[in-house]
Amino acid sequence: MSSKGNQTQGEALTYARVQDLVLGAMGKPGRLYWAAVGFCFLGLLYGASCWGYQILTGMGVAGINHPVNWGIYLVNFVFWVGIAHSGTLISAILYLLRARWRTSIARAAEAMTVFAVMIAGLFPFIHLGRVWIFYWIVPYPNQRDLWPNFQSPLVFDFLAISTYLTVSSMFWYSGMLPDLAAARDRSQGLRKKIYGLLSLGWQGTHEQWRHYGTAYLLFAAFATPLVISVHSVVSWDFALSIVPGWHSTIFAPYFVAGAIHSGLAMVLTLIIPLRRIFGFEGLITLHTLESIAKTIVFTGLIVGYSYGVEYFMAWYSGNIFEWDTFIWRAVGDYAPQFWIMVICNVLAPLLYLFRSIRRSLAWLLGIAVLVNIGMWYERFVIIVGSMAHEFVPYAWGLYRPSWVELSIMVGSFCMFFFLFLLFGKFLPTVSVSEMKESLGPPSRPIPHGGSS
Amino acid sequence: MNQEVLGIFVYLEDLLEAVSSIKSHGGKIQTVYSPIHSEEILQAVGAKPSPVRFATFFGGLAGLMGGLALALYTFLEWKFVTGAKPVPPAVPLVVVGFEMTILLGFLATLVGMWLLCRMPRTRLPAHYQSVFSQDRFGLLVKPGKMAPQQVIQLMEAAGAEEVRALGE
Repeated sequence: MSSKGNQTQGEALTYARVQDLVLGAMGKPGRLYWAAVGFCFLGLLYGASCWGYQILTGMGVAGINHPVNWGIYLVNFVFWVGIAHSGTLISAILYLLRARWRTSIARAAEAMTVFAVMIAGLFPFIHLGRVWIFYWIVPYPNQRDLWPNFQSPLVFDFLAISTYLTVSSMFWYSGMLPDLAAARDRSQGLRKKIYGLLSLGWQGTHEQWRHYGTAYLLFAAFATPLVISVHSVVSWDFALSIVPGWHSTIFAPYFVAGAIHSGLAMVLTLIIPLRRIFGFEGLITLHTLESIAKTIVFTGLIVGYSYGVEYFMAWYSGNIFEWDTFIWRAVGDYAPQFWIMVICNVLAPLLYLFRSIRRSLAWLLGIAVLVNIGMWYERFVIIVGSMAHEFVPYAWGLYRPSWVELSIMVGSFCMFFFLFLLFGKFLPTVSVSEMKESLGPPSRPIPHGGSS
Repeated sequence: MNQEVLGIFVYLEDLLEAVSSIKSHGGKIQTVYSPIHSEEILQAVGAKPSPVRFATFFGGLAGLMGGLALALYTFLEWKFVTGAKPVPPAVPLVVVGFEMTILLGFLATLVGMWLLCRMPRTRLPAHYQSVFSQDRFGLLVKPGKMAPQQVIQLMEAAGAEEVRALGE
C-alpha cells in the first residue's frame, strides 16, 4: 500500500489501529444493517419460492422455448461466473505480481468470488428443470453403466466450476486464519468460541507462518491458471458449437477479459459503500480505487477490441450466416441491448481516463454500475442473440424472459447481497495480517536530536 | 532445567537481537510468535523451506494421473463415439487432467499445511498471549546450557517489554 494511504482521519496506521478498525467493524450491528439483511433475505426467499413454483409446475413457466432454449438462467450463470473472476485476479494474480494496492481489497473481493460462484453454480440446476437428478453429471459407478461424457463442454463446466468453488472458498478461508485468530483473541463468550473453532487454533508461531507462507504462495500459483481456465471452459460451452456468433476461437480470451472487466466493476460497486459504512477510508484508499479504475479502462479496451474483432472475422470469413448474425445484433430486435452493451462496457469506462472522474466516488460508483449492467447485457446479446437468429430464417424467433425467470434473477442478486452483508459484519473484511505486513514492522522511535 | 522463558517484544529489531544473542549463548529457541509473516524471523531462527511443497507436488501428480485415468476409463468403458472421433479422444483429456491437477494439488497443499501447522487444535498453550495476534512479538526459549536467569537478562538487554519464567 502506498504511504499516502496510511492515514486514517489524521491518525497514523499502526498494527493496533488496523486491528481496531477492521475487527471493530464486526461489532454489534445497527437497525439499518438488519433492515438491509431482512430486505435481501426476503428477496432471496421470493426467488427461491419462484424456483419452487417452477419445479412444481414445469419448465413451461419459463420463457425459454424453441429456438431460444438458453435464456436468462444461463445469461446469469455466465454473468455470475464472470463476477467471480476478479476476486481471484485480485487475490492470486496480483499477489504473485506483488501489486501492493490489492492488500486492502483482496479479502472482500475473495468473498465476492465465493458468493458469486455459489450463485453461478445454482443456475445450471435451475435451468435443468429436473434438479433432483443433477447428480447424473457426477462421474461415479452406477447400475446403468452410464458415465458423464467427458467430451462435452458441459461436463468440462461441471469440473471447472466445482474446482473453482472449492479452491476459491478454501483460498479465502485459509487467508482468513490469522485474522480469525485475532478476532478470537479479542472476543468474549460465544463469539470467542466460534472464532476459536474457525481459526483452528492458529497461534502465529514461526513454524505456522513458515508453512502458511509457502502454502499461500502455492495456493495463488494454483488459483492463477484456474481462474483463466474457468471462464475459458465456460466460453467453450458456446464456442464448441456451430451456432453463428458462438463458433469463434477468440471466445476464451474474450470471455476471460470480460469476466475480469465485470468482476472489477462489481468490486468497486461493493467496496465504495463498504469503506464508507465501516470508515475504512484510511485502509482502502482513493489510490486503490483509482488503480481498480485504471485496470477497468484496460479490460474495457480489450473487450472493445474483441467486439471489433468479432465483426471483422464475421465479415472477413465471408460466412453469410455469421455476418448476418452480427448485422442483426446491431440493427435487429435486440439492437437496444447491443448498444447498451457497447456504451456501458467500452465507452463509459473511458471516462476513467480523466483523473478528476477517477477521484470522484460518485463517478467511480456510477460507471462501475454501468459496466455491471453492460456486462449482463453482453451475455444476453451473445446467448439469446445467437440462438434467436441461427441458420434458417423460418426457425428464427424472439425470446422474452417470463416473470418467473426475472424473479429468480432478482432472488439471485438478493442472495449475493445477503451473503455479502453477513460477511461484512461477521468476518474480517480486510486482511489484517497482510495490512500489518504492508505497514512494515514497528521500529523504535528515534530520540529527539539523537542524530543531529 | 526444563523451565522455559517467555519474552514479549514491541519491536521486531529487539526480538531479532534477542534471538541472535540467545542462540549464540547456546539457548534453544522454542517458538517465536508474530502477528505477521516475517522472513526476518524465519531467517533468524534458521527455518528451512517448508516441506508443504512436496504435498503439493504429489497431490498435483495424483490429480493429473487420476483425472486422466478417470476420463480414459470412462471412454473405454462406455464407447460413446461422437462424430467419428477416436476412443479415447485426446483433447478432452487435457481439460479433465488440468482441472484435477489443480483440485488435488490444492487440497493436498491445504491438508499438508494443516498437518504441518498442527491444526486444528482446540486448546492454546497456557503461555499464549492474545497480544501475539495484535501487535506484539513473543519469544519462547528453552535455556538448555544456559541458566534461566541468563536468558531473562539477555531478553531484557535486547529490549523486551516483559519477560517471565514459566513453570516446570
